[in-house]
Amino acid sequence: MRSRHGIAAAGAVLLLLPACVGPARTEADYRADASNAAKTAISALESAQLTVQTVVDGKASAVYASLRLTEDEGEAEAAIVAFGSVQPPNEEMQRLRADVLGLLQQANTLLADLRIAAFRGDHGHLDAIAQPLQPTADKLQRYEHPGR
Amino acid sequence: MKKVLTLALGVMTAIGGFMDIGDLVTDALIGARFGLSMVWVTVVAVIGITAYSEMAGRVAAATNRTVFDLVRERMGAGIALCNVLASYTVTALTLVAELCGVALAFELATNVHYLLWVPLVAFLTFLVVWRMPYEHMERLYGVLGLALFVFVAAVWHFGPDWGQLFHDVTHPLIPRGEGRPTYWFYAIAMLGAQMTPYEVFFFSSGVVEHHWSRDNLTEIRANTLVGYPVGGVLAVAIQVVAYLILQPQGIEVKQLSQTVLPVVLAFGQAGLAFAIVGIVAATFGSALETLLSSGYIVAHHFGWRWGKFESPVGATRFATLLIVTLLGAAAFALTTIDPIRITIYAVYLGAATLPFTYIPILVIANDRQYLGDLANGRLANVLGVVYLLVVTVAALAALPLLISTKGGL
Repeated sequence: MRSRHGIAAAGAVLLLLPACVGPARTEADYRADASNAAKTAISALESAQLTVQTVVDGKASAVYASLRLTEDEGEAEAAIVAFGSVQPPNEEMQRLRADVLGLLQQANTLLADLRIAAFRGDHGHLDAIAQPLQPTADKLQRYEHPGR
Repeated sequence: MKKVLTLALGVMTAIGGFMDIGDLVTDALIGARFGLSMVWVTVVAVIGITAYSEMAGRVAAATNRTVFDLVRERMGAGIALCNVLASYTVTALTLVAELCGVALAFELATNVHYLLWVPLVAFLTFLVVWRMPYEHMERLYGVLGLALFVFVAAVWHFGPDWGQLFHDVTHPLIPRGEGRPTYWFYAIAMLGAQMTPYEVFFFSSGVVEHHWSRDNLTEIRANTLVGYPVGGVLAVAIQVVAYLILQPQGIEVKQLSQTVLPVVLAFGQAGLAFAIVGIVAATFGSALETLLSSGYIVAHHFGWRWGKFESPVGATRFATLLIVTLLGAAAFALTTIDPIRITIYAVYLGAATLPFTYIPILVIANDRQYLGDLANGRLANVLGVVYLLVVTVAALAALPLLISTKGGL
């Protein structure tokens, strides 16, 4: 009976393991975290660009555009929270942290501006507000693929 | 003429029934992340679900008894109870994902947060299960689910290079930046999404609810042999549009609204409307199926009176279990747990429990005492054994892959 309980407890621990995210212990781990955060933010920026394109082409409803842009902003925010909470292992990584978080913040602000414009129904200006999305995504690409 | 119409409606129901929130999420996610390198998984899954649903339907038609009823009799109460616990847990978790899926579709149409829709969706599910006749319920969502063919139309609209598509499908490669464990994690997730155990339970129970017998084998075979493969075409279409539109931009699918983005690009608001109708029908239909299946699993095992043709007063334990399961699922959905993540875990755990569903079906479908001349032939047995191996390997690999990839990150 005891061994059954033990197996059940071990099973529960194994199932919960993937939910645990520890601090980055090495430089490589930290760079991988930075890469993941950059990837998420790039995805949000590109997704927002496609959404803006559908609005400019008169294809998306205001409701859909607002929802999409709110979700993209949420993704960028989640990337900031996830990456910002990881402890950098050394000073060089602390500089990397500042660079990446700066860009993530920039992406988040841009997406928030788009979301606000979409909620206001200011669809005429969405295209102009969206202009800096691609340059920001390009800058983040350096951190997504550090080797390139 | 009436027979043809009945057959056509049954097939449409199977097509609509094949798609659920698990498919809608994993197809788009995988198309955007892995391109067409997992279309082969859909092909494998469709053949498997077709073979085993046909077997389960044949068993029910020949014996007028369902899978879990026969499992207990044939394999003993202990093993059967383990099977019931695993199957009920996964089906109830899938119900959570489906309730969230309907709520997310309503959010797409209204921009009102999905959590506010969850209680209403749960109430609607209760009403339909309680009040709507079985056939109307099944056919309504099955037919409306065909609106998802807007994804197939979108593939044509984008005018892809068909030769390149065919090459990518037939030469699957793991994209750069993705590890082998992650690839296999998502392959198992897709297998679970498209071979969901509840579809087999529901189909088998449906045969009994319809009072189908040996005379209805044509309907059973048409539903499975045509319905599921056409449902598979829908799944591939979602992967293709995600591959064509989302992957080149590096977009990771984390929201249902991203699944429909290619359709909006193709057809504008009309396309979005079709997609929303299709998603609501597919996910709501699956919510009904998973809720009823969770009741069927337990009721069949313990020999309770069950079914939509029974009044709640006549099947009190079955009816109570449905209410408790629905309330529990709605409460779990309201904990603000990420609905897309819960969907991935539900389909993944579904894959891990597939052998529990398939072993007893294969054993019983071979038992001539139960089935007589309707017992499995050589083809059904070869397919059955091969797929049993496939799902067993997937189930064994599921936990190590879940841990090593941190849930597919």
